[in-house]
Amino acid sequence: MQMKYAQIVTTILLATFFTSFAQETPQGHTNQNKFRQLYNELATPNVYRTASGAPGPAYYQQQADYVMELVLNDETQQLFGDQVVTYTNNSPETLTYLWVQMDQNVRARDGQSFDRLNNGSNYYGTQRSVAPGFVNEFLLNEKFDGGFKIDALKTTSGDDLSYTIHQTMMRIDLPTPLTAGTAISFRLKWHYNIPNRQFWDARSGYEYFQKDDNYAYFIAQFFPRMAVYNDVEGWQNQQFWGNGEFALPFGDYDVKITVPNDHIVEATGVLENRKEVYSSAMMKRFREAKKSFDKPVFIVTQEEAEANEKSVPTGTKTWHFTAENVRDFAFTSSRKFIVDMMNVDVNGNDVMAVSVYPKEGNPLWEQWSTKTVASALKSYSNMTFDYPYHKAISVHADDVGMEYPMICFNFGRPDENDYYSDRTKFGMIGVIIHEVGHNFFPMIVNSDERQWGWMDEGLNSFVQIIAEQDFGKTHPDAIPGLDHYPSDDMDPQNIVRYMAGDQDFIAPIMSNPENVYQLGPNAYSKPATALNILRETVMGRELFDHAFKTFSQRWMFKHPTPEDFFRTMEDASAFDLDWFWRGWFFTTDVVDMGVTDVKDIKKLGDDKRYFSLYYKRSLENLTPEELKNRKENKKFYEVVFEKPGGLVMPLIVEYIYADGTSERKTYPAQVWRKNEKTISKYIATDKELVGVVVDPDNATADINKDNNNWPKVIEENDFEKFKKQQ
Amino acid sequence: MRLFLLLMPLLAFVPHKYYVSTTDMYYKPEKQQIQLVVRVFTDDFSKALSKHVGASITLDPDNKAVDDVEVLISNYFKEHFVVYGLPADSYFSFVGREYKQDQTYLYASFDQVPEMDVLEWSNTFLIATFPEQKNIVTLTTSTAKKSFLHTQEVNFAQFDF
Repeated sequence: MQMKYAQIVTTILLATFFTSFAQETPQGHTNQNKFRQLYNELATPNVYRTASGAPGPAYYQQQADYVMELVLNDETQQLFGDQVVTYTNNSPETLTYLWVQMDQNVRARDGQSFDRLNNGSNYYGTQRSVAPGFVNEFLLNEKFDGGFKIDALKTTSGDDLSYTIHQTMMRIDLPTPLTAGTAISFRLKWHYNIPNRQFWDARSGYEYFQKDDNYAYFIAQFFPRMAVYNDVEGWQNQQFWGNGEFALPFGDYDVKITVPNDHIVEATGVLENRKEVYSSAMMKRFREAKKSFDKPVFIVTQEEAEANEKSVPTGTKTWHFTAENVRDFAFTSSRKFIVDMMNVDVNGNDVMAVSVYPKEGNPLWEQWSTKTVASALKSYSNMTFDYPYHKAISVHADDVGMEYPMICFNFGRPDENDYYSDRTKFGMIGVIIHEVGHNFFPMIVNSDERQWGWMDEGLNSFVQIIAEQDFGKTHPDAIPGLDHYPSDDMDPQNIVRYMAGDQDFIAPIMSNPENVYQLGPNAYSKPATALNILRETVMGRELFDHAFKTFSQRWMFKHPTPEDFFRTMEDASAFDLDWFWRGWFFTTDVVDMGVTDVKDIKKLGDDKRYFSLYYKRSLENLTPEELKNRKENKKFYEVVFEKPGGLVMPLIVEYIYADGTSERKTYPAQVWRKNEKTISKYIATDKELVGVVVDPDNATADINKDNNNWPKVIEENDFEKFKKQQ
Repeated sequence: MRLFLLLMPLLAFVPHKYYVSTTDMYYKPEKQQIQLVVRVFTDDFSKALSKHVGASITLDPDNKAVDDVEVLISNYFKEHFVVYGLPADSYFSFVGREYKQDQTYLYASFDQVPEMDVLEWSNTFLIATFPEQKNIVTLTTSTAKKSFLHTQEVNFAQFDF
């Protein structure tokens, strides 16, 4: 009763206080509180996607199955395809046309992809990405003739189908509408000139090795692929401009690849005719690799690969792969390849870790590639779900890191003298972990990359931190002299330089990848750092990991949206994170919290604040026993904190006392709920308070450290710190 | 065949093999000092330094075969980070270096620097070796913080107080 009385008194006092100073007619405002609900930003839940962040009762997804016969011409660097696509309409709607992705058209002679680029001196983060288009346009006598050539598009009964190609998208007009629950098959024959990967800075293409006059092919985005049709985008037919990656439906693949008979091929899927395409020696080693769980077994040795480089093909060989429930298909082919394999036990399932590389990748690749694949599979499986495919391949291609189901292309090449720096080595291990990790995001947790770069890159870069730390622990010989693997995104301080930068060139994470200024920090580092802070500093590992795993498993082999992620993380943890998503993902706000003052409150009980009323009444409520035993604090302080930064974050404080002891306190982010500029905290203690430090471990990405200490300490800059040590 | 090393962020993984250095430049009139912290990738800097002195130099760990790497680095620094308009009694001091993961941090200062109305400098670190090199200099004064981009085409910068 007494507390109720006090509350009423306070409410009346406050009301009087605020109204008595109002001189002008008050102007209202909408809710600007940093903790307000995210309802304005998020799509309304529905029968397809629920408010809990899970797939809804009417959730559906389309299916696209492919039967393909491919021929690689190593003389002309051309690829020919004949594919039958079966598209199943699982949506409740009737479709009158289909959209097919024609990614190779990005390099078509009439393509606009390179025309969009600014040739002037851009902001440093965007880079001057003009070289391939410029050279092709103005310097070459004969412009590269890229893009798909359509040889035939017919129904399975042989009738021509009508189609329209708009840049990188093709619309097929259906002779009869495709009703809900029905399927259509069509046959598409095509070919294209394979681009020089390095010339075009392309995700796929060939690399030419002058010394031995051989090509290595890294083939992807190589066939007309069905676009995604779903409940959030309708047809996802945004053009492929280069940055926004892919959105693809799941399906089953049956692919026969015909190549020169001295080539080694690896691809998405199960190799159905291994006995036909492998030599007996290779078969024997393959069986050994199945039994080897601790070290890779060579299927093709470097010596054999070097001999192969000099071979002349005597015909062709057809490699037959099948894959179920994948969203894409890619392959690699060359006579230069070394292959090694090692079996991995992923929580009871056998998965083959495979590496494919030309000799140029050694001595680095034979040491670390396959072991890195194996380690990554285990770490990601622990954070999400058990890796569901039977193999994971890491292929060495120069200057690129690019992912496809079961297979990825990775950089990391020693120089001509076999020398490699730590940067090359850690870059290689990092990229392999990253690209193998993409099997989980977005190959299986199949987000829309064209729309949201961060959903796969950010989530993947976040798990990459954990996988790299695991790798460092299990492979100390890979990190000599270091106590942990040097993960870029692990230390929140590493994102400060970006977040504190020029606001004109920073976009919120929730931006389309074509619209951001600095794709690296935007889609990779900032979301990875944000999620790492969320895990380590805001939620704690237990709650975070459960929620993250719940999201991964809910959306395994499905198409999640950002909403599904945000909602699941809250739904599975009872953590209201609307403030976190809003601040870190929807704005470019920064973290800046500090301590401004410490006031010595000598006589707490006599203080004429509202506070003293509560204090006295609380004392009156104590039992005589409790009163007798109560602590006799000798000192009372009011510590004043400020938050000039727009982001709200937990306030982590270290209180330092005169006797040399200190005390850590973490106030939840909600401490800023009612006043996000400045707040106070009372400290009652026996000891004299001599220092206050905000964010003592640099755990929140605070961009300004000058206000983090009481008494005030202007932090020395890096130069002064270094000079002092000298 | 390899025409360009330029790397655009269109990869599914942005490799760290972009050619960027970052420099913190602090103008401290009360100490009559311009303080510099230059961060370069160690492998790139090894190449640039090798080219500069015409001998193969591997940093981290230092190549012991080369006498006094410190002096070579100091000379390289002085030649590639030039501050204009300083009086004759101002001088350059190379303070030292440290290796942090794949980067080398270089510390240097200009001393006996009087009050300036305008700061003008050029930064040509690594550009002779890597035409795509971009050097970002962030200048901090008591009242301002501003970033400048240095490339092969434009490597001069100016700040008016």
